Amino acid sequence: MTPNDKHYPQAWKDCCSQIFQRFKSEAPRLYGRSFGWSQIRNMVMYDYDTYEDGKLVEASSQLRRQDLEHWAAGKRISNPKFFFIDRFLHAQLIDKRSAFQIVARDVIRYRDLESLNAQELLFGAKRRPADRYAFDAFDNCRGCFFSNLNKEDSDDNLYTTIYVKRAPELKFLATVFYTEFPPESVEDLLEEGYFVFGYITPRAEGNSGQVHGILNLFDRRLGTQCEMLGFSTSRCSTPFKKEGSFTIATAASGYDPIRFAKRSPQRKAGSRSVLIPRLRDIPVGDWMNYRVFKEILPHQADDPRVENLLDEYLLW
Amino acid sequence: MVKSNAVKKTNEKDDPPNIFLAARNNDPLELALALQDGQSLNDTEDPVMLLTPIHEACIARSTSFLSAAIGVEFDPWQRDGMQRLAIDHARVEGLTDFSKHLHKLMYPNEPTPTIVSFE
Repeated sequence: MTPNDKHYPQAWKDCCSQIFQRFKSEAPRLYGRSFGWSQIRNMVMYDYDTYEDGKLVEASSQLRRQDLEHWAAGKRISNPKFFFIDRFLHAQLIDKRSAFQIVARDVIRYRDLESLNAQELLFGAKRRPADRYAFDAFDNCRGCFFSNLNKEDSDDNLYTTIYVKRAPELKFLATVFYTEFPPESVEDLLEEGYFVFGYITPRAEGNSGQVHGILNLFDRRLGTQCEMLGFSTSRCSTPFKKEGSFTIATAASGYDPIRFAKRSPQRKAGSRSVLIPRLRDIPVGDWMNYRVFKEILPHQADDPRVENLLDEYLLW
Repeated sequence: MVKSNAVKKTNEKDDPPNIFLAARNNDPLELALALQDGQSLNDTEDPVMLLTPIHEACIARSTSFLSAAIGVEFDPWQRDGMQRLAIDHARVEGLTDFSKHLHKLMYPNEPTPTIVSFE
């Protein structure tokens, strides 16, 4: 392959631009000194430039500092030039030693909060924030694992564990793990689990000592433009007092409250169709499909590995 | 590891080999049978999601399937419905070795990249 015969999606170019600009602004924190675009250009083109005794002798003309500067200023970058950036960034992102890993995680955190803000805007939580009691009740759930330990509850023989993150304040980020057996430790969840990420928006104080919120989960692995695929909304509630329980209710009938749409089995000829619940297909009487979750693993609640788990699909 | 959208085969004798099931169920033997059957690793199953068997295997972390697929020719630049490459899925699922192999396939004539670390 030569640099000239490749096309890249514009969104991926924008994403790379964001990562590089973030690296530039984070460099003082990471390295204790600031980086200019020429130093970043030298990093990208290190394998193509000629060095003698650690000094740059001949810089390759295939990507210049001006190209990066124009790109950062919002101008387009041509595909042959972007080839080097793409190659460099892919290599940095798959290597755990790279400084770009930290920058990428910052970008993911930023986008996570951006999505959460969008959800709050959608459900009106920006202009009419929920009661202090609702926030307090969900605050009690922070750092706890909740699981449905009755297998009869679910129709696909999976155990579900919900974790509400401690950070950031006033926002509720949830991680949901699906496992084939009841989890006994954090390792079980991390190594054997299939995890998805979501947000909780506290909404209202209900009767019977419960507060309600809206739980949105996203499976961004398979997400496309397809309606509601990889996306589930349900109502969640938790008691005022800390009792170690968490309830989830959904609108969908015939579908699991917090499980995603599934593809139907392959037909003999033709493609596989996707079974997706559409809101208009759901009868009103089926609104109550409760699932109660109890607190588990209380002594392992403060594991930083779970707390630092991020949806890396948010990067690209 | 829980497989997303895993579909179990019903009667193994009658079904023809399916390269997508092989990817989801981590089955290198079925991969070999499917390749003999004329299927390829560049096929797509769903017209919207456009996932190839390599994408599916990365999502399901089917390591045996992927190490068998290293010997088979496929296009590492094929994008799915979200415009993602196989290397993007492999990176997220933590398949470091396979990501490095994909990087070599994507840039065959280029020098080995130098990693930027903390000085």
